[in-house]
Amino acid sequence: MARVLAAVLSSLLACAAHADVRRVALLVSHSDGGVDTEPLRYVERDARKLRDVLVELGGFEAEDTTLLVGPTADQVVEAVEAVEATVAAARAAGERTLLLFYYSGHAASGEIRLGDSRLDLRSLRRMLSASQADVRIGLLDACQSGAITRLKGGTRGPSFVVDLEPDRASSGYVLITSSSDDEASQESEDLRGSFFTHYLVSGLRGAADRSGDAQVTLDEAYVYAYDRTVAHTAGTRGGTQHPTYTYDLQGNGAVVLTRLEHQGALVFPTGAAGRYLVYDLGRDAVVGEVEKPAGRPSALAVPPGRYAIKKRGRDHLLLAEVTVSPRQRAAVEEASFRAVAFEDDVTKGPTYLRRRRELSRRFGLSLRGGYQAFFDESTRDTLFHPSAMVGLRADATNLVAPNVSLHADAAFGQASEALVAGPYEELHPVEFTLVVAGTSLTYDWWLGDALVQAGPRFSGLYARRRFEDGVLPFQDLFTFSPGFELGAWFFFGPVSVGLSGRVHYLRYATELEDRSLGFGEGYLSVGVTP
Amino acid sequence: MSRPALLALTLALVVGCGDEFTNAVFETDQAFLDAVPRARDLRLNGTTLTDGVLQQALVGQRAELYSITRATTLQIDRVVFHQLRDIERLVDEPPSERADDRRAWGPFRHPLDDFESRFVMTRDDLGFAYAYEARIDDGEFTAVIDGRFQPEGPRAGTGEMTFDVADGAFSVSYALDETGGVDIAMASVDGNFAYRREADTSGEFEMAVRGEEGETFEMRTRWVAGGSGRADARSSKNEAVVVSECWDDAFGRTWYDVGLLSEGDVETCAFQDAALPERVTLP
Repeated sequence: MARVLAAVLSSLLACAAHADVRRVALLVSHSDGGVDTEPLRYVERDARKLRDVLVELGGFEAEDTTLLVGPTADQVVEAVEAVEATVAAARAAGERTLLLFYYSGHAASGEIRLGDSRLDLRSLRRMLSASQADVRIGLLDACQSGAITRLKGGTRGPSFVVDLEPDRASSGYVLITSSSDDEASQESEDLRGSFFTHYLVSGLRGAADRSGDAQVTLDEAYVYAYDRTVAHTAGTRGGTQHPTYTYDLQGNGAVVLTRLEHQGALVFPTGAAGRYLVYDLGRDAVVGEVEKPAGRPSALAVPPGRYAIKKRGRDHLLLAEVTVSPRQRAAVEEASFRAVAFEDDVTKGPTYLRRRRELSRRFGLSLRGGYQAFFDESTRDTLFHPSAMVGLRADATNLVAPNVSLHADAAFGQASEALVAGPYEELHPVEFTLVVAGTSLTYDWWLGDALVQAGPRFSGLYARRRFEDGVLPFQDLFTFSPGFELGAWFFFGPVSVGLSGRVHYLRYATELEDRSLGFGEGYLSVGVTP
Repeated sequence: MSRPALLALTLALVVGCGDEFTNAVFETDQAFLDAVPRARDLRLNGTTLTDGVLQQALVGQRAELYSITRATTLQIDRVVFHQLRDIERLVDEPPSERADDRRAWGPFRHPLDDFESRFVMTRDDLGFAYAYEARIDDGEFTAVIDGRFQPEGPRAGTGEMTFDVADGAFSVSYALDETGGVDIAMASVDGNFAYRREADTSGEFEMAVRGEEGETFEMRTRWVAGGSGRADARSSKNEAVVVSECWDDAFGRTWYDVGLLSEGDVETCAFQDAALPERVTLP
């Protein structure tokens, strides 16, 4: 009887897991894989997302999680050794231990690529195998990361079934990779993270809880991540991505990674069906995703906060906003969804939308009013009179190159002045007309919703003056003028307001004189960027 | 594209076109004005025309040859000075017509005049040509003065002009130097004249005129700054006799010599030696 009771208690304790197992995590991200690789955009975000869910729901104490961003291979080895020391100390204190190693970054040819340094997958595997932790979990979200599982009969498949010994707590190791040894691991603009980590985190938050027991085991999380990753990378340019696994576990089974009881959650009712992307409005982050058929409820455990839930229709987008209080299970009612335009897709986040705006090819048109004046006083008084200007400007942004805009503009100005010239110091009323048409090539800097542009410019200048007293016939001049432009634009949706200034060089050459002149223009513009 | 063509295109892009967009036409007014014959330069005498009465003189009285000199120069001024003052009055106002190499002032009619006048200048490679023209009623303009001026520096140069006067042409050649000195040569039906004035106002005047009986009268007058001077004259009727006279800075005779007759003290003369005309003659 006592033996049976002990077995039951052992099983319960193993399943409950959190209270009696010291959980230690080392999470590593590196966006740079060295030469011949493109920087990854979301690796750090992925690592943080996983750490958050481990701390929130996985029983990991924050101080037992280590996040390395952009480390060298040596630094990773040092961190593993430090974590191992923690594990050893816990074991010495009689605690059971679970070690989770996560890497998000580049990998190729059997190596993790950490900038210009490399960490051989064999070494990594040896380190995990040699760890004193009772359970070691390796999660590698990297291209060709399946090489680490292939080293010892890794399997590319939807599920793994741990061969359990019913009377023992789990021990051993599990290695899970985001892709096979010949596949790319892909990031998603939409998900603002890698497919694999996104679905892994979503699963850990409850989407993977097939059994409905309010806890997510390692195999549930893996199966969920596998299914979703395969399904949602099938149509991508990088090709279908197949997560792999290998393990060497003994014990009574389920390694529970997260527990969802008593957690605040978004609850998707039984009748709801579809794919829901959950976005944390406060932290500007994609929290997770739930894909469910009608007929059973589903929940996603989330920390308190305000969330936007996006549901993709066939030809439209639906958004709902839900606030979750501590420990509250907030229902996501179908009736709360509303159709929105793409621009209002807050789940894209301000960063994404801003980045999209920064890099997208756009064409704009603006109406402008301003003033021009030559720097030299004598020139202003006797030749080129200061004048108010009105004009139009057309902009092509990111057409030539990213963050580069090409502008074409024309402006017209007129002034009535009295010209005083010559030994008689006569006063001649003059009607002065100026037309400036030019093109600018600017480099663009975005500062939030403000855009600063600066660059060279080249314009044609036509000046004409008519002496109202008829003392001379009208005179005109056409010349080209190089210059430099600096402007700042402030965007209010599709409408923008800009302030810009230019300085120009003008060579004034006539039969009698040859002078270098300079002039400036300043404009206030109102534009639209459809 | 060949290198020269590329260079030409680049220059065209940088320079553009528009030579005519300029205030040069106003600024070059000054060059025309500098070439206008000025009364202040070509005036021989500084006093008014009413002051020139010839009179017999004794020592202490107004010098006689001085008075002849003065009367003659005033007579020349009567021809030249007034005309030039008319021109100056015209060019005191801005030109009525401007073109690159041409300026015209007027026509102008004084309320009390029965004619209107204008002054026209053109510029060519050699300098400036000018004409002071007048017309009565709506008739054709005819030249009262035709002239040219060749600038040689600021307010310096050489010129000549011809006055169309009632009793025939009166021609004037003049040279202005940068120091302010003036050299003038004049020829008329009445005789030939030469005038030189230095910047310090000292100078000399030579004349060769024909008398009523066909004789030639020659006189050379010299003066120093301040006015005292000496004149030496002779007539072709008796070339052996040279009449000489000196005067002080109040133009009172201080010495007079007419061969056998002499009065005063020659030591008072600004110039001790006699000097007869060297630049002007009559055939």
